[in-house]
Amino acid sequence: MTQRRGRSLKRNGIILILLLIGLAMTAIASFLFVGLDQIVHGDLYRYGLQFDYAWAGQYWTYSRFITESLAITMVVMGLAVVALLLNHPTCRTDYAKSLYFPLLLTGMVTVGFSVFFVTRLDYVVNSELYRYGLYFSAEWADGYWAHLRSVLFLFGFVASVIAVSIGLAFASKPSQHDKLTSVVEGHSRRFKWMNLFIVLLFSSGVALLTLSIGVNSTFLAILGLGLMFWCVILLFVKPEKYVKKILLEKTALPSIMNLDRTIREMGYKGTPVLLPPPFSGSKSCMVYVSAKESGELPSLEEVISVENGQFLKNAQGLFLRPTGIELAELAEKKIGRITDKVNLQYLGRKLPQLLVEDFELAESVQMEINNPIVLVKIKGSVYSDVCRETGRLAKTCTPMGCPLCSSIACLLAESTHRPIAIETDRAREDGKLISIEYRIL
Amino acid sequence: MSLPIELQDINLLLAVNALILLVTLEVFSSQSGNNSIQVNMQRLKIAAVTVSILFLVSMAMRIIAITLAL
Repeated sequence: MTQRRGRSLKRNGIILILLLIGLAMTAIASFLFVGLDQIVHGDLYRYGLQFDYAWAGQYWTYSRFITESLAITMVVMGLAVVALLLNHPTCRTDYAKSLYFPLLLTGMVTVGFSVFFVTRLDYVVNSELYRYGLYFSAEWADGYWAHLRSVLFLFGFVASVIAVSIGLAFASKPSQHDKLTSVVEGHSRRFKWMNLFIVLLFSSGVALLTLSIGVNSTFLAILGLGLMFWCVILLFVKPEKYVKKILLEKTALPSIMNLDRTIREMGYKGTPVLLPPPFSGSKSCMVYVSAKESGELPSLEEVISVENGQFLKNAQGLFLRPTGIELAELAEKKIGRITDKVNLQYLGRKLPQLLVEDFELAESVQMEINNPIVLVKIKGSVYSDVCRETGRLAKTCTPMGCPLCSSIACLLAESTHRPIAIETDRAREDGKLISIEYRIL
Repeated sequence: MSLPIELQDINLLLAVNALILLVTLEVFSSQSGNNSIQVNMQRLKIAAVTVSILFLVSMAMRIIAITLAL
């Protein structure tokens, strides 16, 4: 069933591509026909042709018939494409067949009419016009024949495309299962259409480029190259998945609030401090919260003897992973592993680029270093609401709080190799500006 | 049978495309206060810079060709 469904989708995609290519080819044929008309009504007067209603009337009649046939072909093919899209992916139902079978058949007939009238028009030019003073010259004849050959070739191409489309559309019957599963697969259709659109553009580009060689047209060559170029760009620059800001807030806040409540209920009153390795006792930064309000930082020996990887001896202090540690590690991947060479000044230069251009987390970032205070101002942060809410909590207005503030603290700790505490963390009510003061201990 | 296009045509094509990509990059840049565009900006940047470099290379080739012809 799934395989049959896949084949059905693939077939519909092929029909759509064929019809769109046919539409593009008809448009190009119209453009070339205008060029042909310009040769007869412009260039030929320089080769002795005298205007007379006797030949012009006949010529205009055929010309009008060709233009109208081409217009009808384009309209019916466009309608067939719309019918296919509206019925996709169950396009091979009787309803779809009854809708676009007459459309494609009409298209085939109008293409046939166009070919007939082009041959009649060619007869007028090659026999009638010599009686009105026209003399033969390779100069006009080469251009005229090139245009005529291209127009006839394109008509043949369009007729073949329509014939193949009809054949493919009537190849097999749809099943009830096909109709039901179409709803489930609807969400991924947009990406398929995007890819189909790119394939169509690229095919048109190749066709135009090939055609440009045949008719020796720079315009068509540039058009073809341009289309191919944009296909490559569209394939390379793909859309990225983004989440809504409100979801970020709603998913991040509960865990931070729980953490805050746990710290409070366990009776840890000290100011949380972010410790860099090796003082953290691990390879990455850790947040240390002392049991006493004025508790000192633990020594390296004490850190090594941490119980269960979380509590200091006799539960004198608590070690926790900072909320922004993953973000800080991601930042390190971007700016390179923080080593002794990465000092505070370097970080000050890199941080705005990192948060604004690479992560697109804020509109602007400013970092002022007045040792031992580092002031970071973040404008238009996506974490502004999270930061404002965590600022209201008792303990988490600290390296434990907002993931962005925490990650900056981690980077500062690693670049200075010193413990970091957050002095103040202010987020304006409208959430536009966040000011964080870090103290290097 | 040859492609009816010369270096100067490709030069023009690259210039126009580079301009479009660079302007798009700048307009949709996060620095201009827009951080909600659903496009991989890093890749767009790479594409814009690459096309700009290609344009500059083709321009240099033209200048060299003109200089040698003198």
